[in-house]
Amino acid sequence: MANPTFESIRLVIERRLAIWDGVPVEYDGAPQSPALKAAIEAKQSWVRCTIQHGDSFAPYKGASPGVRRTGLTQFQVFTPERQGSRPAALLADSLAEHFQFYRDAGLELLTASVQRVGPENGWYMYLVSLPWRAG
Amino acid sequence: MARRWSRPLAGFAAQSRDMMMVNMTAASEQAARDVIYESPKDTSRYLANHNFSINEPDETFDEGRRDVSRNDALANARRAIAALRPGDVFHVVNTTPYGEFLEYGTSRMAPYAVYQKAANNLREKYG
Repeated sequence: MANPTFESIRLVIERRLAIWDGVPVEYDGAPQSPALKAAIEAKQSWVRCTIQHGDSFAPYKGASPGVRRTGLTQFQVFTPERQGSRPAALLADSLAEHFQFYRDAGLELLTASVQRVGPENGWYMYLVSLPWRAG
Repeated sequence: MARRWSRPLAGFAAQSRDMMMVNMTAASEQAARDVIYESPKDTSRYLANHNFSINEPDETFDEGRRDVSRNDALANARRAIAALRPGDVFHVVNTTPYGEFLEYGTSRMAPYAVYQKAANNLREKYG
């Protein structure tokens, strides 16, 4: 299989996210969609997706070196303040269900972990992270 | 007939200790470089306040510390790494009050994930 490109990694993750049946999503570097703006305006839950790139390796070399790229997929989950942690936990579960161990085009997502960040500027926040490996 | 090893086995102890230290030093260097070079610079207060220590975490924070070139932070890390001995634990700590916002992001900002990326790289490389 061809070596993974940064664009192929982005495509796999963001395409998978596009078919997630959850709340409005902010994609990295993209303008906010009308649905997302409306959700934020109405203090309804939303999610921001960021792909974090880590080290790349060449575990085997030779005439055509094989490249492995690694990193994290992170979802900042924002839910309305003062409604407890349940909405954030349910969204984290939904994201984990949708992404955990998902594989496509040589990319594999690993187990999801949650970091509780808590109240933040009028929101309640969980950070969901899934390491990925490509190639 | 008495059987004997052609070399004293105790000699391997030093060799395996040396090999362990090579890995330990390389992993510590990777951790230090990751957090230093993945840190946003801005005022350089956050990156100047990465603390590198051995066996005991150093949780101090110096409001006035700056390191625009990142050289001091790297020099501090190298000093700690040079003092590592077999069995030691290398600690990298940052207690800058707004460090949490850089690490996890906010509703207005994506995470920098400085320590999370460093931890993931270490996991990928050293298991």
